[in-house]
Amino acid sequence: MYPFFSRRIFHAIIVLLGVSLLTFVMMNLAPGDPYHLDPELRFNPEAVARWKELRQLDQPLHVQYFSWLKNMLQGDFGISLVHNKPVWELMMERVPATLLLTGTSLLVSLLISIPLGVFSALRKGSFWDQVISSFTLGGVSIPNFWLGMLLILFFSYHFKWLPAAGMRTVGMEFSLLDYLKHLLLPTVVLSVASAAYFIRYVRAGVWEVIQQDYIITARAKGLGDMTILLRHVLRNAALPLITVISLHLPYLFTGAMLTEYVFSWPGMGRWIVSATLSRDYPSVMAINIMVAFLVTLFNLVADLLYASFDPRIKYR
Amino acid sequence: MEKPLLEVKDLAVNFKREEGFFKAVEGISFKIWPREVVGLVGESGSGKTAASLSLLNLTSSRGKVGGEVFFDGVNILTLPERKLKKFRGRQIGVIFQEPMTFLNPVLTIGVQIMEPMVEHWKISWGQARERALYLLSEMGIKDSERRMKEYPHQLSGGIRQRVMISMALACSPRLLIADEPTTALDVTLQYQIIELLRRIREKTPMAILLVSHDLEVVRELCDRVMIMYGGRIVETGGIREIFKDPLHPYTRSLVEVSPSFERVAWRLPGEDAPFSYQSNIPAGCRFQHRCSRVSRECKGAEPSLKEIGGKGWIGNSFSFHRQVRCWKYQEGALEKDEKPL
Repeated sequence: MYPFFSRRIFHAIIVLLGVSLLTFVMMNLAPGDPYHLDPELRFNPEAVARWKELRQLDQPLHVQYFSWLKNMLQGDFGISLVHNKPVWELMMERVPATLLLTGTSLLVSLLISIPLGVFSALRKGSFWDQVISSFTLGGVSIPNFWLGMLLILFFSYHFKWLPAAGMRTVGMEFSLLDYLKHLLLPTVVLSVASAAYFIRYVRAGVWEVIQQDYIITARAKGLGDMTILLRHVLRNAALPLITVISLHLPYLFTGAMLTEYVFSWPGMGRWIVSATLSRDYPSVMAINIMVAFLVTLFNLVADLLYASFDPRIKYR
Repeated sequence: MEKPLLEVKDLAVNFKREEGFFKAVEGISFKIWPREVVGLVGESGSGKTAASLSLLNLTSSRGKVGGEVFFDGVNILTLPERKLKKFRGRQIGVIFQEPMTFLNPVLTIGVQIMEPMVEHWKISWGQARERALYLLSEMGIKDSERRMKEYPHQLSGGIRQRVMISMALACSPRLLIADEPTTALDVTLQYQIIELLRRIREKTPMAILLVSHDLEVVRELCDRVMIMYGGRIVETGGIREIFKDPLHPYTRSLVEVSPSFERVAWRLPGEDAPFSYQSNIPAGCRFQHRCSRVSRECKGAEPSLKEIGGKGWIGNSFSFHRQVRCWKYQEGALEKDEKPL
């Protein structure tokens, strides 16, 4: 087990290095420079040279890359060109909000999709199975920024039940209810697509497992339906689901970016859009690395989970 | 006089398919007395597995079971699922053909052996563990402590089948249904498992219904045998009589080629699996296309299962020794020149 995971971590490091190199090269190839947006710098070559020297941008590319990498390993992601604050600080302000949103959405979509998927598989072809299937088709088809705007229109603008933006009411003391109210709409938006996606996999997975011979054995032993479902069916159906979830995480992050933008959620999503538009390269690069890091990390966790669910997998 | 442990009356199993209903088993009736070992023999497609699984209503949701199955006087097929569960595993244990696919790959074999005891006897896992260890060592598994923690894929085929048997015996059932218990094993293991079943048979008061396509296995273990063809029982009788004097042409061809039973399929003319759909079932005797002694009446109507010869003790009842479903033996008239070999 340990050799497997050290090797797996080694792979993750290589992936992250590749992502960093790609990010760095792409940022350098991208047209436009941050100082183009600053009228004082734009037509003043001397000032530009000073500006570049100050940020060591006059160095050869490989030197820049390695110093960026070195600094990053020490937790220094550079200074945001827009905010004039360390990128790390900006990140620490925003990553928790994004993790809160994606984490809640993942949890909610699993809580919805597992029971519905199991129900659908056990009653395959029934009226309710078809209802659920139509909803999943709708769920995966609705663009989430559009759903977000619709929900804001109805629940915030017309009915005024829920806040339209932000993570908490500004100027209010901490209150859990307030947080939950703010969390509700973005979570719904983000969960709909994921839940719809997971339902289809849970349904297919459970359907496949209940056809297996060992389910006949379990029935022949006279076990209760719940015991068969929980002990024999779900444990086996969980395996493909773990893979699906780990593959789905990048989409969840991407979806979160858009959703955050729609709901002005103070997470990385809004930041990456504004940072890209204002050519705040240190921030954009840091976000790229961070998202890559999170996805790699969760994939590693998925592998660990897989091992604990499937004894047939031997990690060597 | 003791009552039969299992009494099956007019059992039928229909599978719903896109092409229509397929009658896998049609109108079979038999009895099994306590401590009796009965073989149910037939080639693949004869309906023997469907018949044995339908006794506990274990066929898939597409299979509809008709007829009556009395276990110890209770018609278990009319029971609601909730009550039927009390018979499954507890009164009637089942051993399946392929221990690899019939064992759950993600549960330890310990859990799989213990769970019926926990379910039916409402005992703790710790208590069930004691018995599971005992069962495994009874099955000739050394190092049972360690085996309990292993998963099916870590075991060899022979050990897996022993685990399967311990699982079926966990709650000391009164009837064991063994569906091709040796088919998936290689020859040396087959004999070990047969020996094991023989020992179990001697040690416990349990009755066994042994479903097999292998007449040799049946000969090793059974008192009595029923031959199935095309969803029907075509001949029944004591194991010695069947081998000495097979009546039905199908049985005769089986006995002639025994022990290598598989060769029957190519020795007999016609399709391998008897009938796949309702429309394929011929009028008259179902064996007519492959029978060497077919006559005109065989194509007219189907013969009934006729009782032949004198009465004797079967299990604990005084009844006919033999039954056969063939026109040659209808009306009880066995003409001299037609006497089978």
